[in-house]
Amino acid sequence: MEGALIPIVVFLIVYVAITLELVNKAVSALLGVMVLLMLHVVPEHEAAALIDFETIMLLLGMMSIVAVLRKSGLFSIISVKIATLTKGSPIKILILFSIVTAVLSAFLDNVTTVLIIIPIIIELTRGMGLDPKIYVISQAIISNIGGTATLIGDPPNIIIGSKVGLTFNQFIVNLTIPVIISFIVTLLYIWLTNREKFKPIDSNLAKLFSVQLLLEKIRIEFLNTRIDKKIMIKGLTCLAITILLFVTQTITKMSPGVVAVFMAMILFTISGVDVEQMMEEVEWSTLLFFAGLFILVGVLEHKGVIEWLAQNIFLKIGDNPYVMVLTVLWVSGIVSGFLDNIPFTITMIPIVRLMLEATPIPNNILWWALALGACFGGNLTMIGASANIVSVGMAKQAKVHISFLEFMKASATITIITLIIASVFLTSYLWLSL
Amino acid sequence: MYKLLRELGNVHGIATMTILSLNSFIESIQQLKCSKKETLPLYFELANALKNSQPNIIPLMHLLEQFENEMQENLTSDMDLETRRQKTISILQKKIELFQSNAARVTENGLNYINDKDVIIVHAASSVVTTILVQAKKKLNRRFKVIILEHNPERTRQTVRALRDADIEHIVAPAHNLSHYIEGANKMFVGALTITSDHKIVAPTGTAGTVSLCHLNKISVHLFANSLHYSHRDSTHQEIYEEQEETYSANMNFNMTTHSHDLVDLELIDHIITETGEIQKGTYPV
Repeated sequence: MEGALIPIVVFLIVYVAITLELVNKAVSALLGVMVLLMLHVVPEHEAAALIDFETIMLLLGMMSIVAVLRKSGLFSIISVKIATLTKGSPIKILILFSIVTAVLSAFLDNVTTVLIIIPIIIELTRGMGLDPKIYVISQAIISNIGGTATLIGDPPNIIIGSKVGLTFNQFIVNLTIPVIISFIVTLLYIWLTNREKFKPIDSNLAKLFSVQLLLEKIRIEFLNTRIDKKIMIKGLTCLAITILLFVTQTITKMSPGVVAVFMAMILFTISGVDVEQMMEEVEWSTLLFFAGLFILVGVLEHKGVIEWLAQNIFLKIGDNPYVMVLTVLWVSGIVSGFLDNIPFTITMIPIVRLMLEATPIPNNILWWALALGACFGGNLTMIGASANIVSVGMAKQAKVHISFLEFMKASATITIITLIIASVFLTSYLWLSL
Repeated sequence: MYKLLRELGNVHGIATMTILSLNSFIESIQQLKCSKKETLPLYFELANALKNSQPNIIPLMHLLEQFENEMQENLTSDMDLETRRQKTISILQKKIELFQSNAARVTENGLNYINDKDVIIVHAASSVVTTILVQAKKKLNRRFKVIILEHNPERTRQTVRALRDADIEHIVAPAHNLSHYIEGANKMFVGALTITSDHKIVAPTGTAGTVSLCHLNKISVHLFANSLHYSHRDSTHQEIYEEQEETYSANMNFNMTTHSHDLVDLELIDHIITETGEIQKGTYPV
């Protein structure tokens, strides 16, 4: 591991800065990269070659499409429609919003999903005299679970899919079952542990009446944005074509990143939206963060640090495939609960590759273990996933204060349960595959 | 519930709120799960709560009083739960039809008060006033101009959209700029929540100032309100809501006291148009 000390120190400092939110994530990562470049640890062109542009393009493309759909008012319509369907029933609010959150998270990013859902669920539950906290926490958790089902639903999946070459279909075929089971069990757990909070209101005429007024108020507030049907239709069509092209990747041989950017540019062209304004909606700091991390981890890999970690920690667990799968799942799950799962996933990819070189495991099961661990693990604590942080932040703005412990009280057990479900699924899958 | 009624009332106006409240009552009855014995007490409890809203929604109060009387007369103890529910809903639906019918007649009468070349000031236009303006253009092809004094953004937006769709010439100005437009105008149209027994109008905030300025400049002020808006109680019993809200501006916090509605003296109104036509000030429409 010659010349590895500087990259290790830089990486650790960046990791701490990100975890403790000392500096903006993108700035942390890029500062780390600049230090490496200035100290000639890696030449610029080699650093640039370490960036996985497939991941960047996929993120850029999907962010652009979502920005146009948001502008069209589509998400306002969906959330108001769901609110109306609930008719103020607490349990229907939980179930219907959770279904929408899970589905949206699977095809959009989790942060966008909670940005859409959380304001309306707070307005609805608070207006009904319910405590919004359990609803906010549940939607943050569900968004992470739902996002696990597809290639594009969660950043760890995007990274794994792009780096490893796993297709959209492979994610859906392999992860839908544990995601659906985890979704159902999570809802059951939330209901069973909070039964008092989900009591129906249909014997209280005054409350039923207030709900009608509340739904009218929500309709006015959330549909106040201009609904642009033409842009909505074009946006939905482009999104549908994008997903179709993802699904037919093995036939078209077009990578998801290329598809996403291509369709985004087509949508910008045909929709007539203000492109400068849409570009402002793209999370450039997230893209720069990814780019920085790819370089930092790539340098560690180049210097042999990753191989050292693999040899001295992960490969020491032996060559029993069940132990390997469960180790990757649970280590990813627990670590992702406390540290950002994006740098963790980027770091684990070369490690998992080395593990597979030593002990091949069929059907990409070890990659599914990493995906399930990194995604489900993000639910362990309030800081485990961006969707959690954003949800709690939005709740705070609405004067609904959720502490770290309050969040963890609900989320920790759910995370353990979902990791157990994933363990059962993966070990069964492995048993059938061997 | 009262807070929601106020918030929606600011956006929708009294006519829409009355219909919304009755429709919500119907929807709630349809969803209600209770025993036969509980139905009437629950219905009357809600009706009573709505009659005591802050501020009072007078048309709604009148309609609910009629509702309660008809319930006492029509509902018998041998009716099963479902029949009771359907009968109650039917009575409420008839109240909605009555209100809408009255409003339609006010609108019809109101068309006589718009002429070509009129310049009409409106402030927090009620649905009746907006409908009169739109129908005068569409049905009678009258050519006139409207000065919309901005009220809350949602109400202003609704009025602008209606006039735009009907291709009625209009300008939108802040209410405090009225003095710049007063010389060019010849009429003002207002709606009202309530006309009280001591000859005052309960109207959206800002109406008192604009009506006063119009009256001072001899601009003819027209009030459009159906008989259901007339209250048997005086202005002190209208439950106009006073609220203190903390406001922050330019690094300074201060408390601002607001009232939910204005009181306007009926003396400042030149024409009162109801579903029976124009009536004299101080008389009660039959």
